[in-house]
Amino acid sequence: MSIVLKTVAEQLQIPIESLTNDSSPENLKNWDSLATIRIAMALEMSESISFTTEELVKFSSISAINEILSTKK
Amino acid sequence: MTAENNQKMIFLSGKYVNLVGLTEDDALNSDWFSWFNDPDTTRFMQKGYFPNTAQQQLDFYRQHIVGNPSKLQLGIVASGENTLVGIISLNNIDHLNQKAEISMIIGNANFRQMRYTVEAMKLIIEHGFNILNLHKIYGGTLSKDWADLLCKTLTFTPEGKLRQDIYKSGTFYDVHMVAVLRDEYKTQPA
Repeated sequence: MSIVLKTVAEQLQIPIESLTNDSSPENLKNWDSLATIRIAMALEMSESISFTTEELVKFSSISAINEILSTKK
Repeated sequence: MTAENNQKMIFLSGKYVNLVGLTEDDALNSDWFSWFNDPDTTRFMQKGYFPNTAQQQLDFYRQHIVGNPSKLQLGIVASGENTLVGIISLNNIDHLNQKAEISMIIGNANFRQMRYTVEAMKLIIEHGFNILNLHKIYGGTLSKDWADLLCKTLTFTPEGKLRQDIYKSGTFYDVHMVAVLRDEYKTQPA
């Protein structure tokens, strides 16, 4: 299971099955900037990484977060 | 500041948003006044206690925004568009102590995304430090997530909390205080 999918589902409090790689703030009502901060901080905690502001602004979909995360490993 | 025909007067320009000068027309004929009647939009604000009308918004504009050297209030408009989606302000501008309080409302939920939020904040903070010669910009919020956002993306620092300071929806909430000093503020591309 993708850590990003799991984290987004937890932070948005929605079933993980409802998420796809195209899920984004554009198509999920609860995914606002505050949710993005919660997602980022949860990922930072679980993966022992840190995101820059520039990266956070690019948290535009599940696939975008996966891509950013892949550069951290 | 630029304006053409009915275009908003762009005061500060960014990649994702422009901050525009507000007008009487905005008070009367935009959604601005109605945002303060929406429980979801005002859930972290000391608003929504009494109804707000377009006329009240116009009165507020005339009494508190026009010619007020202690307040810089601007509209948020997405780049390439001409509709207000929010308001951002530097309030209580204290020219002696060189500090001001920041606040923001994004009334249109479609624009409550990181790129709009951070860039709008960034534009007014940099105007505050570089043009208004502020030394400190501070804010208080009922939302820990909002405080985290300011600290994580715009180099604010927590300054403590006012315990059970605000009554809202049946609960006394702590107010999380955050601030950034000019020397601490780090510009990051948004």
